[in-house]
Amino acid sequence: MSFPYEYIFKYIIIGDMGVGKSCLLHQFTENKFVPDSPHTIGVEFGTRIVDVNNKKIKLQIWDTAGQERFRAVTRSYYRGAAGALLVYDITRRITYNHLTTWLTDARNLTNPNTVIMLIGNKKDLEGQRDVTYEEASAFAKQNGLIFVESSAKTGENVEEAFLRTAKLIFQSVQEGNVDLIPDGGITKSNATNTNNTPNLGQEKKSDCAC
Amino acid sequence: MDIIEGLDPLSIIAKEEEDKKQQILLLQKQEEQQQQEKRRNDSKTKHKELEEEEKKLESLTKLHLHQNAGNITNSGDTLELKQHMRNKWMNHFCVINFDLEIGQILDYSFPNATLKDEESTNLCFLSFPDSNSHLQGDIIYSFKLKQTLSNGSTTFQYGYVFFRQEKDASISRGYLQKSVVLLSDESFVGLFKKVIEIVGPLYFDHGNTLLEVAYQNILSWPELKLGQTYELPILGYILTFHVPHTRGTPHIIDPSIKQHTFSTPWTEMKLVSNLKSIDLHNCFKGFTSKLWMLWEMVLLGQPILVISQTPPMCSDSVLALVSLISPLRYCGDYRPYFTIHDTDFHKYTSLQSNNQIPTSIIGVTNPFFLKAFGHWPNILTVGNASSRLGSFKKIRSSLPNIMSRDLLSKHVLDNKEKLVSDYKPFTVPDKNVLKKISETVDDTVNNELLRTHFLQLTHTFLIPLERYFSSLMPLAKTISIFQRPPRLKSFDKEEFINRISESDEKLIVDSKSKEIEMYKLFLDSVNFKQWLDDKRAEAIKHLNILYRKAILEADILSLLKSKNSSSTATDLYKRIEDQLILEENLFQTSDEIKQKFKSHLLIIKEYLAVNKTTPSP
Repeated sequence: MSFPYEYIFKYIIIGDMGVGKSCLLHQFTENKFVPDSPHTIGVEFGTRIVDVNNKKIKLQIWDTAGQERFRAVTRSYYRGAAGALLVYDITRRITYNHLTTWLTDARNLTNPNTVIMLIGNKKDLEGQRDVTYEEASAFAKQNGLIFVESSAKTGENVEEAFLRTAKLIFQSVQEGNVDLIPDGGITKSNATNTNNTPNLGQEKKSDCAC
Repeated sequence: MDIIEGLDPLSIIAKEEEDKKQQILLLQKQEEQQQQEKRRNDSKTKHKELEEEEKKLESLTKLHLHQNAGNITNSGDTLELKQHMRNKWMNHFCVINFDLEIGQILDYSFPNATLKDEESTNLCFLSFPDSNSHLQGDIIYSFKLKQTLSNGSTTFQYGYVFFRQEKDASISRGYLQKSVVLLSDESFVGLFKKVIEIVGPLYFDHGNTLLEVAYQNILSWPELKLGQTYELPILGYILTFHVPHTRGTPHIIDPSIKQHTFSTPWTEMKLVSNLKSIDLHNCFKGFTSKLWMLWEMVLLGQPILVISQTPPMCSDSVLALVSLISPLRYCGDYRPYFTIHDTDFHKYTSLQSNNQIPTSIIGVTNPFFLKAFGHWPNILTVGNASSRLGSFKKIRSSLPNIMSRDLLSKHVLDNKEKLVSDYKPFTVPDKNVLKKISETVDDTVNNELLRTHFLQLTHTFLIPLERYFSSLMPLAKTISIFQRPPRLKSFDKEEFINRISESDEKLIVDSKSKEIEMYKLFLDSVNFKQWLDDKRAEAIKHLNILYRKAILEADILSLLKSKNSSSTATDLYKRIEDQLILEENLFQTSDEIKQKFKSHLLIIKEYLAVNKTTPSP
């Protein structure tokens, strides 16, 4: 068995309910727009192999549920993420207003080197725009995020969002900013891994990892 | 030599398969109906929940959702149902809690499990250690849950348990004792033990919602196919797993997967393997030299009772024994962890004389079994003091209090690993292997060494059987489209014994007569029966492929012209028609091939019409 890629980057997609996180994922992994996609239960998953600087990189994307009741659960997926796509809906200011909360979560639960990208989705609905490009762009600058407006419906800038993030992560790897540690994600020094292996009491840990 | 008269093996098998298939279809239909019913109810509650959720959110944010995200339509629901039917990696997550009044009870399951009372009781007891201790911590182990279907037949689900015990002042008992269990039809020990190891602790952090999420993850795994390698996402981890080629008794051997390291493993990528999850070396560390005797006992179908202090040690040891004869499938009943509450407990205790006890390997931790199963011919005690749970508590009042102190101290509390058996082994332990093991400290290396050795030993043992079996195969050149597919000769035990007696070759036993004795015992075992059934099915499939090929490649018209006989043509018509029925019912042949058959039939029909006779199909 051989793996047709050299690196795996873990991505998480976060943001309020209904901003189009799952649609972004589907558009990127399957080139499809599903208008009435059902609620995400907790977390969904997609992959795509991309080419960055002639290296095959597998993007392993965890799409989280925006719903409040899954918030606690989805937080446990942040660990080990190399990239985080923070999504809001340009037609609903409230989703933009919540960005600070999402960002705090992302900063607290990921590594300092995790690349966070801000995505203003539903660019196709220009007429209903509630948040200007300039405003969001200033917010991104202020918080050191890269920013793009996209449309999961038309596919505009979707590819770019995922690829730009991958390039930045790859650059970070090449500059040696990130340690590659098996099993631990991009844990560098201050990462805790509480849920990694269960505490097996006084017993010898059963060796079933492989 | 004894050849099956009358019916050819193909049609016998075809009929058997047909019956089985009908039964399966019926069951599937019933199951589907139940599922649908359940789904309908589930979706109602789910829908309600979502509606509430949405209302809450809306009132909070005072905005109109751009997308009707909460809309779970009926069509979406059936899609999900279909997905579920197709994808049977697992069945349910269950939470078993300890209730002071009742004992262990099924607290929650997702998707909601409908179990009969006795099955539910059985599940509850299988999900908890049955010897109490004050030790705090988590244990992971597996079990088999027997279920009786509506048609009276029995089936097993495999359970993978994460049990947590810790002090908790808020509970009146002072302890939290709770299990999260994954139920599946598949015995993928390596995979599901890892899954439950990930899910378990997260469940204790997040509660029931987590199980719903984990289930959703597994539901979106690709369709389960034998022999494939998958990358399976679960709660932020990716598990790489190779599904074995055969279904049935534990898939412990998956030789095609090699441990390999990624050049740059970025995320939580884990390779899980059934083979590596059962550490042969560790299970039997105290008596490695007895492994050869145990291999024979498992191979020849001797019943074995395995006693250990903890469910993990117990279930691992049973699975290790079962896997000892890989690639041969163990066909007896085996229970990685068995309790006195099991529906089969009385079945086993009622079998008083040795020769009544069927081929089985039963793992237990309750010392009461020494009394109840004291008559078993082979009792294996595994585990040592270091792995022992703390002192045993008073036995529950519901049990007859006949466990004497003597018995306890004599058999369990001395922690001696031992094998009590009257069985006289034929083989002797391999000195080279033992020497290597004593020289190596690395458990993984030792486990692999033992695995490879016993795999080879089983292969060697099977050589004469394989050789004899291939002599039963008809020659490829005897295949003709004008005749029924050639028949497979039946396995004549006597003739086989004669064959091996004639040769001087000794394969695994030093004495020729003893070796023959061992083969004789094997021919009477359930493991042999299954081996032969598998071989026959495989051979018949192979013969069919040859016969099919002959038909497909035949130039029907010129054949008919050369024979120039309408009765031959009628016969041929029947031949091909019969084969088409077989292809349709038994082999799931592609439409393309079936079309070719049909066009052959058409040619013959036309030929017969021209020759002024009608076929009688």
